[in-house]
Amino acid sequence: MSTTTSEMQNMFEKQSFWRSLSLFDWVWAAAVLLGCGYAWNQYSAHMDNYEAGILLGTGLSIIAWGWLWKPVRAYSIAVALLSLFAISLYGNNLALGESNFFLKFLISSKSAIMWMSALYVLATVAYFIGLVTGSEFTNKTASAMTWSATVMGLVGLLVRWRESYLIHVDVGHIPVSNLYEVFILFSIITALLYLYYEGKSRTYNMGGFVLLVISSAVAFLLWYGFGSRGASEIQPLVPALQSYWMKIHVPANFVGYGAFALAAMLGVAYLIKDSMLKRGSDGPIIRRLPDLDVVDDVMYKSIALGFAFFTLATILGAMWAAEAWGGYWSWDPKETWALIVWLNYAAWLHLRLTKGWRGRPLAWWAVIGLFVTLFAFIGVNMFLSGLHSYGEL
Amino acid sequence: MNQEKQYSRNQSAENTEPPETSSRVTRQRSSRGEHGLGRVLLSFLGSMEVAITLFVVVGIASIIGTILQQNQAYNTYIVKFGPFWFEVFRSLELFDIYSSWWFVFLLGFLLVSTSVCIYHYAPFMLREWRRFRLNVSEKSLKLMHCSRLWKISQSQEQAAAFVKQKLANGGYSSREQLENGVLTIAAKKGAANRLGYLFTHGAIILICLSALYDGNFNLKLRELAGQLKPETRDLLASQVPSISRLGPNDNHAFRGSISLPEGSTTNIVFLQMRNGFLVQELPFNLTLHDFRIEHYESGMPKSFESDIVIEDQQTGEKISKTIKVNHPLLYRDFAIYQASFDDGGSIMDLQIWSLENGSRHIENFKQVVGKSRDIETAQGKVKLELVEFKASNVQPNPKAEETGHKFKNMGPTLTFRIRDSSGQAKEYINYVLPTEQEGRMFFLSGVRSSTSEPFRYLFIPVDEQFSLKRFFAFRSLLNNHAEMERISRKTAELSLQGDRKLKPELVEQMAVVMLRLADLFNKGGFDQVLEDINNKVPEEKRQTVTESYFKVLHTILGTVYLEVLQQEGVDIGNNITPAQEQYYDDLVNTMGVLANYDAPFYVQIKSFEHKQASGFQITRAPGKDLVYLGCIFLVIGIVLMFYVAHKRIWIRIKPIEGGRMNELLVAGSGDRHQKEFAREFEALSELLDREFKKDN
Repeated sequence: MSTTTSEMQNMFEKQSFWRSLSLFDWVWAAAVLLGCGYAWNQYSAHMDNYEAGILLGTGLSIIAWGWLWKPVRAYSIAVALLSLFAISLYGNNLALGESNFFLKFLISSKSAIMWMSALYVLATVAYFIGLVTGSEFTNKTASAMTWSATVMGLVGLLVRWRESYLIHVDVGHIPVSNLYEVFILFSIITALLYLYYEGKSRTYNMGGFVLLVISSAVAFLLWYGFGSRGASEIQPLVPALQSYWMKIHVPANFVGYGAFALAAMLGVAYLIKDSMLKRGSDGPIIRRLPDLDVVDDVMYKSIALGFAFFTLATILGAMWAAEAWGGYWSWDPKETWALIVWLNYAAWLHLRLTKGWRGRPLAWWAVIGLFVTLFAFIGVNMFLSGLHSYGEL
Repeated sequence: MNQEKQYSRNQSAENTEPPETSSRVTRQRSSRGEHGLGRVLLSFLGSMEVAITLFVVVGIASIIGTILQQNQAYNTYIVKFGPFWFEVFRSLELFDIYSSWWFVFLLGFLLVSTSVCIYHYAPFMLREWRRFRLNVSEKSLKLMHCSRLWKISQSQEQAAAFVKQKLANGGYSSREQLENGVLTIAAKKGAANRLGYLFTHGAIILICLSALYDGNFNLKLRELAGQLKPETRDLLASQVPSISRLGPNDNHAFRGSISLPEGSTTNIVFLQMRNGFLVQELPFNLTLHDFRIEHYESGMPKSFESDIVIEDQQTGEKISKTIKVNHPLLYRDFAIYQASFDDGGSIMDLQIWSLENGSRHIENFKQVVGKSRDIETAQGKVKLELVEFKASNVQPNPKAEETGHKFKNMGPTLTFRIRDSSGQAKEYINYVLPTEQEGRMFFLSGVRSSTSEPFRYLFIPVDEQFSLKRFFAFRSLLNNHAEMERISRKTAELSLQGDRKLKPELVEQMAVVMLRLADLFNKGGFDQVLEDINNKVPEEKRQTVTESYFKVLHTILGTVYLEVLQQEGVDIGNNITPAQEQYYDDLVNTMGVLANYDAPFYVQIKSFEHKQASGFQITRAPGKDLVYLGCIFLVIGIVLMFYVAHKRIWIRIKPIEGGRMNELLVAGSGDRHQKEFAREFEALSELLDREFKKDN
């Protein structure tokens, strides 16, 4: 315990947050602001006030994010450089995606997503090998692969954003408009949440479990996007989706979904370790899994984060609905399922916070919660019809 | 009772950790309920069990509403579930669950439960937020999970000053108290966490109440009182009786819709209520001047927008605005949304070409889309119902590779139904303009017996004038018995001319065969001819007979075609052009399958006048801003609850050994963040260790 205290700044010694920032922090923040300024300079004529607000808000959020979680700085730089490289290679010619070596094999949107997919699957395998063998090197490799996959995923989305404008300026839109695109978003966000906890708790042994859900998302993505359905093609937006709200509503929702997915996979790990311990088996693999109360705590934190974002996203969705459909609440199936998901996790949090529930029952509940969430996320599009009928299966 | 109160106050003051479980607090607060029954009821309503049960029940009810499609026409449900289950579901109000009595009751119950919960906990939470809890006993501090003791040589003041400064650095605020020479410092941080509870639960109540105010609850009450009755008949708005009408100031909240053709004005909207509707009058007139729709290359709508003017009935104030999806017009507490688009009564100039045997009927008239008209046929009267007019039809281009265009606009189409006297209908889709197929132009017409089937298409070739005249002239000649007798005799003579030995009877026989074959073909196409052969000719001869019959058939049809060309005034001389030859092939092919088209007439759209209608949604939601305020509270509350950790630290400095030394007791608790607090406590201990040289 003393090691952790000496490593972290003693909070009772006066030092302001601002003074704890390094030179790199400031240089990086300046770079983010410069990027925003450049975007403003280039595109402000096409932005309304809300979009200008979103640009500024995004810039400041990224800075805050990077200051609070340092790896974000390197991550964002890698993503920015690769994306800008791809965009500069494209110029104004979308056809280069088929002929230019770098684009075709590395950083055109589709190639980047393929790399992301492959890396996530490899990372899943590596994490499990790491768990079984206890090899530190394998674990670090798995972690590095997850980081790389997450870089490629975001690069894929950003380049796709540009590609949509290269098809036609009317077609251009932020790539969060159909199931193919949001599955990429889901994978990235879940991975980032996991990587945050991995960094915080310095244990790699949950990786396999969490990456399992990401690998499933990747499997769906490949089937849905590159199979006979061809959902990976960029489609123009229906009028209802042409709004600045999409830029905030959808990502906020997916932070929620990602956090719930993370909590569910931690729940799985919890249940496995718990039942093995109860059966009296205490092999090296079981010992390598983090302590039950640590898993339990991270699961709670993940659901709390997901709940906060999901609430925010639902509110933003209601405000958007009020503007597009003429009412902030219409009992549309997607809205209703959002309410069900919300009630589900509200009940979970109540039981934990006021009834003092811990451990197994809540772990089970988090796992079941994932299925409720999944239904709200894809089931509604598959089985029910309604206003949210974008990206049907 | 008195004793119990006393006990619980002590408990609360000496509480080693802030209470986590509700039961203790409930018991403590229960003194608020004055009577036994009231107390039991209140503690039941405010209990977590009731709340969780309600969450689950509301969740399940909501799920039912998403599985069972809501607010469909009652007939749809009857077809789906049968009359018995329809009645059961209807009486449970399952077709409009979210405004059913029992669902509203459930939400009301949830509201009451939340309110009682707030009533129970609010005073406790407020106290927890404000108080420092100075009078905590030494014993309970020592029992805390994080607790340590130092024996120090510094004076009480010195030690206190040091500790207070460190606590302030750590973000703690503190109070102190000197009692019997013992100095107690109580510090806390993140007490706003307690306000999170009030914010979230208050927000839920605010949101639910405001949303209820915006719902159609008041209409249901008025319906129950017999003051309102939804209209279920298909009436013009002006004919709807007053019991189904709501005046402009008669309804504080609604969501209605209306489809308005270009150039027209309205001052009402329709409110859907179960299987009927109400007419809601508006305090302003809404005029649609122009409606525009833009498409992507793929034919998908890119944007649609309406130029509207609203005129206040009282003040005469006028506001003009262009509204589109995501950009509504807000006026007073009304909002006008672009919701959909529709046909606003386009006028079709139609030509009817009879396809019946023996009929050469041609009719010409104008008809509005959405209306129907009786047409006389040989089988009696049929109804021609114009269903839908589409100004463009974009389809994937089969020649995308050559032309570089992925999509192709096939031009306008008219969808219509022909309903016979027994009520059976077939649906047709006719293209207004001829379409190119393999270099030739055809009028396309699709037919299907039900909307679930795909259309089967008939291709009618066009002549050099891009008209259908030649096609129908050919048909009409085939239908003309006298002319056909003449033509078949002439053809028979011509075809047998070379053979001088043949007798006149043979010519006569040949003419009869030709006439019969042409007649069979005219009635039922190639199929009819083949069927005739199969019926009359033994199997072993069929092949040869079929070959010669088809040869004969083509000879007669060819002559008929030449006659048609001559009638048109085409100089055919010795040879017809390859295009005219090709036309003959297409003509015969089309005629040959015409029997499958199964329509008494062909409808040609000669011209049209396109009129669009814009679908508006008009709403009045005075509770909206309160809902948003509630949402802001909810977010603030959630952030406070999850991201502000409530922590308390107590310091007790007691003189010992006759005042030469002091005993420093430090204890604390992190409420829901014990792990994090334990680290914090360790950090503080390290500083104290350094300062007080581990005297203990």
